[in-house]
Amino acid sequence: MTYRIFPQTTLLLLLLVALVISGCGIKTEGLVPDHPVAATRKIDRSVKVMATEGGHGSKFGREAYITNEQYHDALYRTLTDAQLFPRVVESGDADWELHSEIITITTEAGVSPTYAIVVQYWLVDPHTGKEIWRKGINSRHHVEWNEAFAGGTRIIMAVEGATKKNLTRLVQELSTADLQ
Amino acid sequence: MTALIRICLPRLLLLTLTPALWLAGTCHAIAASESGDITLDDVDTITILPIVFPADQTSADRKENFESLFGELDEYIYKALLRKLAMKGYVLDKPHGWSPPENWSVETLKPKTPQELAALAPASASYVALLFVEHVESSYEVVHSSGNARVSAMILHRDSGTVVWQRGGEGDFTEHVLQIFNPLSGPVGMLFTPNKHAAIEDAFGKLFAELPEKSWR
Repeated sequence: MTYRIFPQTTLLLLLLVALVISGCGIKTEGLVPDHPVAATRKIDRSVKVMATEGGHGSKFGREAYITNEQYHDALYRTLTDAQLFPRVVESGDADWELHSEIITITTEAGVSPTYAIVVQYWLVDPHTGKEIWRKGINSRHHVEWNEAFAGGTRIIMAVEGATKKNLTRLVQELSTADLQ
Repeated sequence: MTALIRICLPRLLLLTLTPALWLAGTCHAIAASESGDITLDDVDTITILPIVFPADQTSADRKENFESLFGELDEYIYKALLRKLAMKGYVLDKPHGWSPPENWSVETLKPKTPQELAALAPASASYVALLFVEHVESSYEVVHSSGNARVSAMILHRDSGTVVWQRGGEGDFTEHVLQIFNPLSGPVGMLFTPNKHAAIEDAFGKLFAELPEKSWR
């Protein structure tokens, strides 16, 4: 009897572990807004996306997090897709430098997770070293318990959703900012 | 003639009333902003100013046993509020290129008007939060350690000096040697726990729990 139950239980456990593990990786593709954010105007300057600060990999038992590299890539792709600036670069010279720092990624535990991400963005004129624009953006995303079977997947959906909203807001804020 | 009046009168009324209504709406909006009618939903980034203590509290009084483990109080409280207020939709920031004026104490700042307080805040900030620790004490006994704090907080609109939100409250923290049965605490834990930090965090935590959540967008 024990012999018959054991493989079934093991299989079920393995399946659950596989489902949880499969949902534990945040991918850069998931952080980029699904559709290019429509910029309401063009800013005739080139911009260099600087390395993101404040991020790190997810740690066991803590909130899911995003690495600096993932956020930087998502930011670069969002700005390129939005066509707000005629030229967006990752290296070399540009008129402005866009800095970003992940201030916090936080959640309230639960089966229907809500994640909040706060990112501070600022533009610097590299020729003068002067900061010309700064904006902190908070975005939140809630995922219902029935949107995904695995808890890990729901957490990733919440982090990705909050990040997409944050990057969307960034393009909107830049579009309406008093920048020449 | 009657037909002409019937056609022209509604149009004439529309032409005269539309600018009048538009002007009334504009005036109302100006009046609202001039009277300092700023709500919490307008608040975006809140710059957290250094914690204000009573003048008789020396920096030695504020120190904790193992402060290097937990960080200084300003940083400790900032991090705690950062997570709490992020879930409510706010952005917290620290002052950039600004340091508090001399006499940064409860006794000096409390009698000031909101406009006077706003004038002391960094010019680059749009909203500032003043965190007052009006009283804090802690005790370490052989079997028992505790801390309690009375605090208040005020969020100000920097440009107008309008008080957007303010509250006061108390917090405490206690540990007992019998918590030895608790694997996360116990006598060793009692030595390491920053009682004053924890009591102040508890007080500000309760206080800011009452801060309304911002609408989602």
